[in-house]
Amino acid sequence: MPAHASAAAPPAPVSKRSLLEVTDLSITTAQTTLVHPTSFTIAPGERVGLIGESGSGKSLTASAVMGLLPEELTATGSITLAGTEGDLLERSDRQIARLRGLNMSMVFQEPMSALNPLMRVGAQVAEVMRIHRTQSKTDAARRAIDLLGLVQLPDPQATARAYPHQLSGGQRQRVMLAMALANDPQLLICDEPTTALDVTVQRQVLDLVLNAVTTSDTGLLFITHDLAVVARVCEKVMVMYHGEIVEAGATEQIFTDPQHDYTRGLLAASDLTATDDDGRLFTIATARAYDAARLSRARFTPPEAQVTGEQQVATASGTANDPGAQEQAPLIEIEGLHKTYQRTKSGLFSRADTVDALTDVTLSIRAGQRFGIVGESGSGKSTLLRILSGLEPLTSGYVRVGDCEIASASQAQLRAMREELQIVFQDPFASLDPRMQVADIVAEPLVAMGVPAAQRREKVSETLEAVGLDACSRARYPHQFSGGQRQRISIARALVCRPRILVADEPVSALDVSVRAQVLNLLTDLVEDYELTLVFVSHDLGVVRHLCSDVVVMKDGRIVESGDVASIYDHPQHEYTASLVAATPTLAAALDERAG
Amino acid sequence: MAGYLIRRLLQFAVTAAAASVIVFLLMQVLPGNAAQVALGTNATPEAVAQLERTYGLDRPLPVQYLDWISGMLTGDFGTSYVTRAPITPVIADSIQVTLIIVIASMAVALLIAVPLGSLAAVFQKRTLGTAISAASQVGIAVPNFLAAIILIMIFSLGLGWLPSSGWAAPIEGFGRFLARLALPVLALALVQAAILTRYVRSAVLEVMREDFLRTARAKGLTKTQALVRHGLRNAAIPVVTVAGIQLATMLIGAVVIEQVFVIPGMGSELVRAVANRDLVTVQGIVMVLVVLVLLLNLIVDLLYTVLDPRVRRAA
Repeated sequence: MPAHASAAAPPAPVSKRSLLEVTDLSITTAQTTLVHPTSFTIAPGERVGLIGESGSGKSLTASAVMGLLPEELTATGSITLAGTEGDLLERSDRQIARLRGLNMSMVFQEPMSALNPLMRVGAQVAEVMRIHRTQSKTDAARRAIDLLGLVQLPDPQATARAYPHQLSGGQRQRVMLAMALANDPQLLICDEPTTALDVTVQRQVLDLVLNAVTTSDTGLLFITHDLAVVARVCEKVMVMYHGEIVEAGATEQIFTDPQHDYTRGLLAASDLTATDDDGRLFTIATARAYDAARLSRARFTPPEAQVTGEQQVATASGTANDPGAQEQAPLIEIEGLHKTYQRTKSGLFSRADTVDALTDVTLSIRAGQRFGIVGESGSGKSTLLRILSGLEPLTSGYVRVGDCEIASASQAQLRAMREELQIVFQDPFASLDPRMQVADIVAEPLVAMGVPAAQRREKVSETLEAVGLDACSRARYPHQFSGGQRQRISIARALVCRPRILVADEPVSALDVSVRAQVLNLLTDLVEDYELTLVFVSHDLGVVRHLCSDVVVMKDGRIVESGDVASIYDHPQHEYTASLVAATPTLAAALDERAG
Repeated sequence: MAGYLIRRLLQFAVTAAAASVIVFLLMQVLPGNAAQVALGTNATPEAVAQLERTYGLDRPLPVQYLDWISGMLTGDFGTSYVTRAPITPVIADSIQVTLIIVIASMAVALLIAVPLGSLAAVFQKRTLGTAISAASQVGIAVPNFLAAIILIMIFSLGLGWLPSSGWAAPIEGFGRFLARLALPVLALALVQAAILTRYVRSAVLEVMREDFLRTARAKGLTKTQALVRHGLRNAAIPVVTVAGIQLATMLIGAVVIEQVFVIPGMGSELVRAVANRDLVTVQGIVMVLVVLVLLLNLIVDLLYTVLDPRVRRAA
C-alpha cells in the first residue's frame, strides 16, 4: 500500500466536503463493459438512491466500492473514501478488508441466505467488532445484544442465542443491519434490503435504516428498483440504465420532472394508478404520454387519483356487474374451508402439533370476475391456491370449481377440472423445465389432454403469438429468455388449453417494474380476449388494485376483509387492511411526506 | 434432542435385529450344514444326524436363532465346528486390528483430502486446482490392492524402508507397530483421499458461492479468512455424509488389504472361515461387520446434529 500512497489523488480539499467520491468508475469483463465510466459523490450524512432495473449495474457499482467484485471483473477509475488514504480500487483484498465493516458496511438483499446458518446471530454481530478489534471479547458480546435491541428485535438476549433459521426474513434483515451498524461506519450501502420482505416489515426496516443514518450522520447509498421506497428514504436519486447513470438529482425533481426518457418510462411504469387512453398501464415504450407532474398534483388534489382508480374498477368489473351475470351460480365456491398441517413430531412420545393454515375460509367467484387475494407471507394464500387446483387435500369444508367438487372428486375429475383451471407461478426461473424447448413446454397441457400433434403445433403457435412471443422462440430453451419473457411462456402454457379460469400466483413480483407493466397489460388483454375468470394472488396491493375488481385480504389463514377494491382500499374496515394499505409504499405518498 | 437420541438408538437396534435375522437365514439357505461339512462327503446319514444332535442343529430354526443371538448379546459367539475353538476371542482380536487400520486410514485420507480439496476449489481455474483435480481422478481409478502392490514395490522392495507384510501390536513396540501399519493404511487412505478430495472440492466450491461468505467479507474478512472461518464448517456437512458412507466401504476394502499384507484382521479371519466352510464363524464375523457399519451410520447422524443447528431443531 505505501507504494500507492504517493500516487493517490490529493484528497485534502475534496474529502472535507464529500464522504465517497467515485470518479470514472467502469467495470468490465474480458469481453464487455458492464458499467460505463460513472462518477458521483456522497456527502457525509447524505442519503442517495441508486435505481434501475436488474442488470443495469447498480449492485456492481456498490460491490466495486466495497471491494467485493467477482474476480473475473475489473474495475478502473478511482474511488476515495473520506478518512482513508488513496484509491480504494488500488487496494489489495487484505487492504480493503480492513475498511469493510469499519469505515463502510453493506446490507444485502437476501435475508434468508446472508447469515451463516451454523453460527448464533449474537456471535455473528459480535464478530464484526472482533475482526476490527473495536471491542474486547466480552464488550463485543454485550454490545451485540445492545445492537440487536437497537434494531428493535424482540428479547435481544434470547435473539443473540438464536440461529438464523429460527428468525423470520425481517428479523434476519434487522440482524444484518445491526451488523452493518456495529462499528459506526461513515458509509452504509443497502442493496435492495427490503425487496424480499412483506410491506409492513419493509416499512419498519426502512424506518430503522433512516433513523440509524440520520442520528449518526452516516452517508447512505441505497440501491433499489422500487421508486416509492427510494422516494421515502433518499434525498438524492441516481438513475442507472445499461451501466450508465443517465440522470441524477434531488428526489422531488427526478420524480416530478424527469429529463431522461428512461426515467420517465420507469416512473410511468411504476405508477399503477395511471393508465393510457386504452386503460392500459404505461410501459417504457408508451411513457411519452405519461404526465409525471400528476404525482405532485395528486398530493394537492388527492381525489383525482381515486377517480382514476374507480374508473378502472368500473371497466374491469363491467361484465360482472351485468345483472344477468349476478344471477348465475358462482364459478368457484368455497365455504367453511379448513386446512391443518401436522408438524413433524418433536419428540418420541410428544404429540404432533397441528398448524392451522386456513381457518373458515368462505368466498365465491363469479364467471368473468377478476378476483384478487392479498396477504403477506404465511397468510395462507398459496395453500388456498393449492387446494383450489386440487394439488393438496383439504381438511374440512366445501370447495367447488365449475362442476367439480374438490373434496370428493376422483383423479379423472380433478384432471378434467385442471383443464378448466390453469396456474401461472411466481418464479419464472424455476417453474420452467430448463431442458425442454419452449414449444414443448407450452404444448405439455395438450399432451396430457391427448390432443393430436398437428393440432398441438397450431395451438402452440397461436398462443405464443397471443402472449407476444414470435414464432422463432418455439425451438429455444428457457434460459435464453429474460424474466418477463419467461413469464409470457408460463402464461402461454396456462392458456394453451383454453381454460375458463386463470390462477396467477404472484406472477409479477419477481419482475422489474418496466416488465411488470407489460405483463400486467398482457394479462388484462388476455382476460378480455379469452373471457377468463382471473384469480390473482399477490402481496402487492397496488398491482391488485389495478388488475382486480374484487379482493379478499388474508391474514394468518383467515379472510379478514372482502369487497370491491375501491371500498377496501379507500375505506378499509379491518385494522390489518388499514395497516397494509398504509405500509404499501406509493410514490405519491412518499413525495407527499417529503413535502410535508 | 434426547428424544432424537432415543429414537435413533431404537432405530439402530431394530435394524441390527433385522440384519441378524437375514444373516442367520442366509447361512441356512446355503447347501449343507455344519455337521455334513465336518464329516465330509462319505459320512452316513446316521453319523450326520448324530453330530447334528450334538451341535443342536436338529432343533427348530427359531430356537437356534435365539440361542445364537442371546449368546452374542452376552459376548459369546459360539464354538467353531471346524477348529473346535470358541469364536469370540478370534473376533475380539481381529476386530481391533481392522478398526485400527480403517480408522487410521480415514484419518489420513481426511488429512490429505481436506486441504487438497479446499486448495482445488480456491484455485479452481488455475494450474494448481486443475492438477489436484487430475491427480484425484487418477487416484479414484486405482483399486486398493493395486495401490498396495505399488506401495510394496516402492517402499519395501525398492527402498527397503518398510516391511512388506505382517503385523505387530502396539505393545510389541510402537515403532514396529507403526512400520507395519504404514503401508496398509496408505494403500487404503490414498484411494479414499482421492475420492474425498473431489467431494471436499465441490463442497467448498458450493460454499464459496454462498451469500453468507460475501457477508463475512463485508464484515472485514479477506476471501481466505472468510472461507476458513465461515466456509469450512459449512462445507464439512456434505463431506461428513460421504466420509460416513466411505467408512463402510473401507471396512470391505480392508478385507482385501489384509490379504495383501498378511494381517490378522477381520478380513483374513473371514476369508479363512469361508475357505474352511466354518459357517458359524462366518456368521459371527458378518454380523459384527454389519453392526459396525450401522454404528458408523449412527455416529455420522449424531455428528450432523453437532455440526448443524438446523438438524438439531428438526431432531
